[in-house]
Order: sequence, then structure tokens, then C-alpha cells
Amino acid sequence: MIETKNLTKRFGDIVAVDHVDAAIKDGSVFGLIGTNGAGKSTFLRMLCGILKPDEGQVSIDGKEVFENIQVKSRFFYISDDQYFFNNATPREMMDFYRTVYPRFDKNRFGHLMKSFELNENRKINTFSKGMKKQVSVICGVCAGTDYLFCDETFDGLDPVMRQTVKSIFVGDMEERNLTPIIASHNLRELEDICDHVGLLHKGGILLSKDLEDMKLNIHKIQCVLLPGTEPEDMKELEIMKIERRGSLCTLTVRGNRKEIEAKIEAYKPVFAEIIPLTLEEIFISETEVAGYDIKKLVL
Amino acid sequence: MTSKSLCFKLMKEDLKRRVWTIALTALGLTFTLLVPVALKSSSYLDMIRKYADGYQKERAAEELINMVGINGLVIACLLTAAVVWAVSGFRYIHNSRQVDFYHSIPVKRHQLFLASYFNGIGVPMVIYLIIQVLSVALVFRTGIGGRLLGSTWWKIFLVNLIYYSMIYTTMIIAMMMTGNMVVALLGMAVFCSYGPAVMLLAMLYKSFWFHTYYETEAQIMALRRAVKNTSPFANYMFALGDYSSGSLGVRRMAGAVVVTGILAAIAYALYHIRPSEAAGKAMAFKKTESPIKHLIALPVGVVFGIFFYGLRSTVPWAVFGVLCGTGLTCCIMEIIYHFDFRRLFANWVHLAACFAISLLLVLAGMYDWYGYDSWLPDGGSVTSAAVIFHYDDDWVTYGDVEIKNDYAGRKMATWNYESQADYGLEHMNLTDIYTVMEFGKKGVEADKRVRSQKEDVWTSGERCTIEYRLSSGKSVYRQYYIPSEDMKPLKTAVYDSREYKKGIYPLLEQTSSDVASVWYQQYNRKESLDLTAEETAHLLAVYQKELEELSMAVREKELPIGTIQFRTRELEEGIAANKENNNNYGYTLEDRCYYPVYPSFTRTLEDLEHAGIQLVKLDTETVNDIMILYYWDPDEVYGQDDEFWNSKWSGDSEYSHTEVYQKKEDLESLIPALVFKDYYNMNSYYEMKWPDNAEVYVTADFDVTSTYDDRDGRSAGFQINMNKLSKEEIEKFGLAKVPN
Repeated sequence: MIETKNLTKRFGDIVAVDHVDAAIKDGSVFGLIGTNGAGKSTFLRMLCGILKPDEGQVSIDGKEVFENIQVKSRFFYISDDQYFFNNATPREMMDFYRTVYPRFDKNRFGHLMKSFELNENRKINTFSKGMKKQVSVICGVCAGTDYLFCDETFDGLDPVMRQTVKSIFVGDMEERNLTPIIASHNLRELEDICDHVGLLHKGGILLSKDLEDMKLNIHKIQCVLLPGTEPEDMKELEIMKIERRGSLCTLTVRGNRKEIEAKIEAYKPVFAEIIPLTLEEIFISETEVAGYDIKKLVL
Repeated sequence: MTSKSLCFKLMKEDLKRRVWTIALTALGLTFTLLVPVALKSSSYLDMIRKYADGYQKERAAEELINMVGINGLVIACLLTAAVVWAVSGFRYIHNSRQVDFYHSIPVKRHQLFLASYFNGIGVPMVIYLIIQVLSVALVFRTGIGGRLLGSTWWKIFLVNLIYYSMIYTTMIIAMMMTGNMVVALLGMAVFCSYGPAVMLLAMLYKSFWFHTYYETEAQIMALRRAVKNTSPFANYMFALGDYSSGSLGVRRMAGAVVVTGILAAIAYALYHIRPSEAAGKAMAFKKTESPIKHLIALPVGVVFGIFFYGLRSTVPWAVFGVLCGTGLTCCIMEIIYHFDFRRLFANWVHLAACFAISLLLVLAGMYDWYGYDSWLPDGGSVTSAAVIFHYDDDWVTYGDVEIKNDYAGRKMATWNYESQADYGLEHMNLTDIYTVMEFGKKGVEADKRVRSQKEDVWTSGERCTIEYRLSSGKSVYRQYYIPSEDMKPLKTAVYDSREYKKGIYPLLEQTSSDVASVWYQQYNRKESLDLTAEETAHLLAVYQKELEELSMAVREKELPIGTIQFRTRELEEGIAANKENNNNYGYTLEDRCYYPVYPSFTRTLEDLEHAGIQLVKLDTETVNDIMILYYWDPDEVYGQDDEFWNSKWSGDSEYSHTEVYQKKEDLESLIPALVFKDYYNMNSYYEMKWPDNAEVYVTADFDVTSTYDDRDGRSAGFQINMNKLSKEEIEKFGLAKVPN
């Protein structure tokens, strides 16, 4: 498990990461959400030992990360603008990674390169942005590490590639308990893959929760109430948000699904249906409760 | 994976990415060493076929041998390589993408550092060694390789290896302290030049503001040492110079290795503590920004202040200079630090502080707030002193003969010069402290007048340097410009003392056992004296005594009538060696160490006559004629008609004419006034008045030719002392203003 305690990083007068406490469980996908400048990259760069924290600490299974080779050999970092050697080919990059990652899977690298239809012997600087991302992801998953830190990795991948990469991640999670930590400013990218999400804003974590927990505890109800009945009258429900379109009301309600269904039945609505929430909607609701306008933060 | 094998793997990977650097180094050394040696070898082989022996062949062989020794092109190539290898090895720390890449992989930072560091020394030096060995092999092919066996060509490889490593490591430190390659190169320039520049500025500051400041040989040597030890580049150049002169010892080389080791440790420590986020910034460590800015801005401010004061000599211009120097430096450095022109006044408090401190330093020098120029020792604390009158007795030869082998193994003698001041300050022990203190008082008074701009003693006064030897064991040096009227009585008092003469005439220290031969010169005739050892000792003792007793009063009235040389064994050996090798320098050595013989040196003259010297004399019997060349004053003759010209002498040209005097009465008038210029040059105290419009040429029964521009077989080595002519004679010989 990756754990950060009181993690802080300052660049001059700017506090990029501000006393962040977080825990990332093994075998799950951790999504790190935040706007540009929220501190996602700084947070990730501290997680993988590039930056030395000004305060606090980062540890993996209780061991400090910074300048600890044993710990660092357990993760691979894919930056938002991954560096490749000048005029290097994917094969040459693989050769280098093999010298520093002993568990690097050369065969799988060749197989994935073929699957992605990338030429191992072509210079990487002739590749498109998306192809470079693919090469870095292939290198990352073939490194055989326990953790994969991805900084805006899906940015630049087409939808098909995005799904392919996600499926590779899922496969590795099942096969060897890989833990991807994905930083992105785009909620929709992470919606179908993250198990746990942390929202960074101005260097601090606004919230960090399991997605499933959030989904179980928050529901969206579309309903048409009897004339004379207003949603505000339903005091038993913990309504977070009300939207009206004519007589159709859409309510975001916190609580257990069965309890909500029972409570709303008591008002004998003309029509009532519980519909699924998107990650975005969950975040909007959660952050609004916390006093923030998520649309301004992320979307 | 063990860290050792990982390190080697990293070195291998590092080299893969630095193939261009390897190629560039190999190419550079090939074209600066191997190709020139190959060309020279080929040319030498051709020369062997054409000339069996000779100077040219020897010269070509020497050049070929030198090519594999100290080769300027190779040095330049290695200096460039040191910078290129340092930059290529550590440029990744200036790029955040690359820093993220290298610092995220499971490799300890010290391994990354060591892999790049040792590649940057090992690979170029292996390339250099291979090319050096190939070059030596080419020299052997010409048949003169035997000379290399005896020489130490491999030592130059070691010297270059050590200093390459020093420069390379210094450049790495510059890379570590910065976050941008251009700034790193500027940093390297600062590392290489800052120390020497500040040392030179300190010297400039003292010599510019302290009018009484005198720089001794010891201080110059200290400055040289400081320059050498504060810059890796200067240290390298000095080491090459010492290697060339054969004075570069193992101890010095070991010192250079230790310094390189310390620099490497500093580079490693900086790499270790360097934050990864420094990539792309001007300076890697925020805390270094202000000290570096101040360290540069302060001396630049002082230099600008001195420069502008030097131009106009007013305080406002000095203030302007300081403002320009500190302002420009601070602003430029702020722009560099922030990579933003608009931040030039980002730290105006620092700018103001630099300006104030620099101005304080300039004003302190300008008004001598240190009290340096007004300082005088307490007379009771001075145990002895030395006084040097610059430009007086500058005919005395100081130094000794140095005999070395030339490139062909032949002996070659040269004169190793020493200055009058250095010799005098070392050998003079004046005990007349009262007179010495008077020099100091007059000098300080004169300087106060200069500082108050009431008087320009520098142009009207005479310069003298004093060394006060204090009872504390310390020696303090001052130089003064003293008005001639104040100087004359003091100078007379000092000159008349034996202690002074012992300090300026090395002959007075000479012993007869060191005299190989004695020569006497009258005008242009030199004669060797045939003396026994006892006669030589007697003559030396007599001459030394008379020289010691020579007074200022005598010198004002007399001119030498001949010169004497007590030639040392070393000088004799040097002259003989040069003559044997047809080296013309031998003839100039012959002229060293002649001393004047005055008419009042009666005992010396007696000994000379006793030794068979026929003393010659200029009189109506020996002088054939005296020709005077008169110059017209162009302003006065302009526009004169023919009648004017015809009424004058028959002119030689528009600007001059000559007149030859052969009549006895003319010669009787002129000969007592004749002054042989070489003798006058040996006695600047002689009271003489030159005509400013005439040159004098003389023919005599004996050789009176001189180093001057003789004409028509007549010696130009003479002048007329008008003090020895009556007013009528001056008129008669046209030595007053011409035409009159």
C-alpha cells in the first residue's frame, strides 16, 4: 500500500501539494483528479521519488520511497510527456529499461508492440503523440512492477486505444495484482476504470473515496409528484439537489437505495424511478456538499 | 543486481547516447594531433632525402618532437572536450522531462552520477591516448623516435589527463549549480576568470588609488600564485608553462589530483542535494543567487568607478561609473535569474546595497580613508631602509648569465635580467634613518598637494621607492614623487653613502676569485688586460674603493673617460658558448657589466696604465674634425627669400644644413665641450645643457664610433655641452636658436 502522510511540496511561494494524507490500496485503480495546477503531477512525482517532499513522507508498504532502489523497482512512472532518448527506437528503450527493471518482459513487449501495430525499430521521434503514449504504456506494463504511475496517460489516446490500455490494466490487475495510479483532469476518462478516486484541489485532497461506496450512498431519482406535493416537502429524504423540467423532477438523494424507495413511495408519486449516476454527477454532488463547485474545479 | 554491475551497465548505456561526443573528440584529436604529425613526418622524411644535415632538418625534427609534447591545438581541443563531455553527460539535469525519467527509475543518484562522470574522463582520455600513441609511432617511423625515448612525452599525457579532469569537473559543478546550459557556460566562465579578475582588480585598486603604493617582486609573485590557484584554467596554463620549463614537479601534479578529487566530491555533493525541480531554472540553489550577484556586482562597480574617474577625474563621474557597474550587473543577473527582462529591478534593495558598498570602496580609495598614502613609520621603529631612485644609473646590469641547452642540445647563454629596484631593495641597508624619514615626509607632503590638486608632482617630481625595515621584522614599501628641489639634497646625502652604492652596484659585491678577465673600453675600443691574479685582485679592490667613494659632487662635474668590466667566469663561459655556436647573442653579452671610470679614479687609472692600457684623450692632436648638423626651425624660415638663404650657410636641405669645423681654433673651443653620449648616459647627474637644434659628429685618430647613427665615417655619439662654451662661442657655432 502506498501511503502519504502530511505530504507537502513548495515551489518558492507556491504550495503545490499541501499536507496531503492519502492511502492507495494494492490491486485497485486509484484515480487522481484535479484541474491543471492542482498538484497532481507534483503529487505523482513525489510518489515515485523524483521530488523530495518538503514535509511529510511517502512510503510503500512502510518503506520510504526517496532514493530507495528496492521500493523504486516496484513502480514505473509514465509522465505526461514521457522522455525517450534522442533518436531511440522502442527496442532501444526496451534495452535500457531491461537494465534497470530486472523483471522486464521482453516477449510481452514484442507481443504488445505488434498488437498495437508499432514498429520496434522505428525512431520514436517520428511517432505521433498517441503512438509515443502507447510505447510508454507498453514499456510500463512490461516492466513488471507492482505499481504504475500514469500522469495524463490517456490524454492523446484515441477511444479504441484508451479501452485497449484499460483492458491491459485490468488484465494485469487480475494476473499480477498491478495497481495503476492514474492522474487526470478528465473525470470521464477514469469513470469506468477507477476503484478509488482522490480529488486534488489547490494542493490539497478534497475527498478520497471508493467509487462503489459513493455509488451506493448517492442516488438519482426521476419522479412526477402528485399535484400540490413539492420535492422540498419530502423531509424524510436527504435531498442534495433538485432539478425541475415541468412536472418532472430529478432529485439527487443521499442514502440507501431501499430506504429511499420506501420513503418516496410514501408520497405516492405519479412516477418514480432510480437511475444510475455518472462519476461526474457523483463528484458534483459530493463536492457541492463540501462547498465547492466541481464544474469550476474539474469539468 | 549488484550496484557495481549496474554502474557498468549504466556507463554502457550512457555511452550509447554519447556516440556523437566520442566521434567529435576522436575527430578533434585526429585533426589537431595525428594528422599534423603525419604531415610533418612526411615533410621530414622528404627533408632527409634532400638535406643530409643542417639547421632546417634539425628544426623540423624539433617541431615534430614538440607536436607530441605541448601542442596548443591539442590543449584547445581537450579544453573544448572537457566542456562538451561535462555538458553532454549532465545536461539531463537541466531538462525536467529527462530529470523525471532518470530520477524515477530504480537507480541511485550516485550511480547515475558516477556512470556519467567516469565516462566523461575515461573515454576521451582513452581516445587521446590512442591518438597520442599513434602519433608517437609516426615519429618513430621517421627515425628520430629515439629522442622521444629520452624525453617524457607520456608525462604531457598525464598533465593533460589531470587538468582535463579538473576543467571537466569544474564544468560539472557549473552544471550542478545551474538549471540551464547557457547559464552553466556563463558559470564556467566565472569559475575560470573570477579569481584572477579579482586579484588583478585588487592590484589595479591599489595602484590606482594609492599613490605611494609600490609593488614588489614578492607581491607580483604572490599575485601570480593567487591567479594560478584561483582558476582551473589559469592553473592548467601555468602547469603547461612549468612543464615546458622543466619545473613541473610530482608534488604539484599530486596537488592538482587532490584538487580535482575535492572538486569531484563537491560536484557529487551538489548533485546529491540538487532538487530535481531545479531543471530549467537559472540557478539550482536559490540561496546562491544573492551571494553570486554581490560577488560579481561589487568588483564590477569598483572597476566602472575607477574607469570613469580615470576618464574625467571627478567624483560625479566616479559615482556614475559605480552606478553603471553595479546597476548593469545586478539588472543583468536578475534578468538571467528570472529569465524575464521585466524583472531587472526585481531586487532593488540588493542593487542599492551593491551600489553603496562599491561607492564606499571607490571613495575610500579616492580620499585615502585608509590613511595609506599619509602613513609614515615612527623613525625609532625603522632599523634600516633602502631607497631606489628610478631611472638613475639605469646603465647598471643586474642579473646573471643563464646557460641552457637549445633544441639541438647546444649550449646557449642568455642574460637573466633583474630589475634595479629588486636588486637594490634586497641589497641596500641604509642606516641614516633621519634622511630616509625626510624622503617619506617630503613624499607625503607632495602627495597631499597632489590629492588637493594643487600640484602635479607626478610630472614635475622625481620618483623614488623606499623600503622601511621595521623593528617588528616587517618591511613596508612606499614610492614617492618628490619635487626636484626637495629631492636633490636628500639624494646627495644618500648617494654619498657607501651603503647606498653597495645596494645599487653589484660590482661592489664581486670577489676577485670570480673574475675571469678584465676589460677596459675607451670609446669604441675594448682591450683585455693581461693581469696576474694578484693584479686583478688589486685592480678590483682599487676600483671598488674609488667607486664607493664617488660623490655626487664629482659626478656633477665629471664624465667617465672609459669603462671597465670585471668579467665573471660564468659570463666568460656564456660568451664562449654563444660564439662557438655562432649565436650573435654572445656579442651582446660582452657588453654587460661595464662600470664607469672617472678622471678622479686616479688609482684605477694608474693600475690600468701599469697594465699597458694607453689612455686616449680627445684634443686637437687626435680629433680630425667636428661636423655639426643644424636643424632649421620650420616656423621661422617659412616664407624667407633667397637672399636670406644665401646669407646663411650653404644648405643641405630645406630643413637642415651641416658645417664641418677643422680649424685649430674652432677645435680648441669645441673639444672641451664635447660629450660622448655613452658616457653621459652613465652619469645623468652631470650638469649639461644640450643644444636643441644640432647634432654633432666627430672623427678622431682612434675609433669613436658608437651605437648611434653615424654619418660619412663620423661618429654621431657626441654632443656639445653648452655650459662649457662662452656666449660668443655659442653664437659663433650657431648653437643658439637657428637661424639667429
